[in-house]
Amino acid sequence: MIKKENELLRRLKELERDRQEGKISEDKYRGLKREYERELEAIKVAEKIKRMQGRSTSEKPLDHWIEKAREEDESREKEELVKKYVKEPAHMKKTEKSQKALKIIGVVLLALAFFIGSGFGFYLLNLGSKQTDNVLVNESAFPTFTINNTTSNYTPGITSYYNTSKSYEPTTPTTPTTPTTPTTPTTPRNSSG
Amino acid sequence: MKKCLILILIIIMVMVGIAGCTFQSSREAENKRFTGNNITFEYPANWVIAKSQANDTIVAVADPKSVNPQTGYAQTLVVIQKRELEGDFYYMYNQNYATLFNNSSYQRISEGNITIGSLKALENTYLITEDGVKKKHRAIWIQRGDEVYVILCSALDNEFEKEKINFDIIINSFRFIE
Repeated sequence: MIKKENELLRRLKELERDRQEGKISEDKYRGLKREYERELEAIKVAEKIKRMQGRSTSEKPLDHWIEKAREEDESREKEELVKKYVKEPAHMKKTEKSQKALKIIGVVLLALAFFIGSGFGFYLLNLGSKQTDNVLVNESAFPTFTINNTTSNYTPGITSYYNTSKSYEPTTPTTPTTPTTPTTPTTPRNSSG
Repeated sequence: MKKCLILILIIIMVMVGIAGCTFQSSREAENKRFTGNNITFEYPANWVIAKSQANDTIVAVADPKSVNPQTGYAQTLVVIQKRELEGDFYYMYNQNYATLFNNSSYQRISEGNITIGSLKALENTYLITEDGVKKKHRAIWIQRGDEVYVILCSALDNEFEKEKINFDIIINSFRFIE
């Protein structure tokens, strides 16, 4: 890097001497001088970068650093221009806000759907158990009914000590009817003899 | 956007609803179990616990599809009743059926001894004719200490054999809880 710099400085001196001696035209002198100076500037930038990175030698070619420096300048200029002239339009901010609101609404609706759906599922699950109270039965192994006051003829096959005594509800006696009043006898008619 | 959200809402509700129904139908494949009042037994998954209007009922289970719309009562059912022992177990049994079969509506089919788990029991099968409707009853009497438990299986006479498999689920799984 230093060699290159020295070489460039030497060329610049030669160029100055050639110009004074009138060996090269003014235009050529200016063009070459500009070129050498640009290269020297690039070398200085590269040196500066190397110092910032803490490296003493550059592992990449000079063109790389020149290119990089130019890119950095361009991007910096672009950023400045954007900051200076480009402003966010108001409708874009509104769109972002509405998108956020829609996202929140979406999440709320999904949560609501989940709970409603779950509730509906549980309702269906419990539907069967709700039938419990609706079904009635009236069968009994110990039926109660009144029987006639007669002895049973049934002889069970399980045991021999069957007892025929059984309980029954007596029927209510009927109230006797009141006697009818006798009719008064008619007086016998005297027959004339 | 709003339409899309409504659509998602409906889809989720339908999915959860279907999941609930599927879970319900998968549960129906298994039997249900009743445990309480010192007894436990299994009963068919499509049956329900019923309200019994008979005295001494511990629990009643019935097929809700068998409810007679005219009477409002289920016709395929199992009622489990409990009574204090009156004297001797056999005496109580015989006295009950002597009274019962004295009524012309009751017609004895068979009776005998069976075993429920490790317990010995008496079984009585008979027909009842009420208002022209013929029903078949199978009553299983079990003595436990000073108490008598009766498992009464009832169905229409022409459907009793078909329901026997359901009655057997209950009878074979019936146990006392210590």
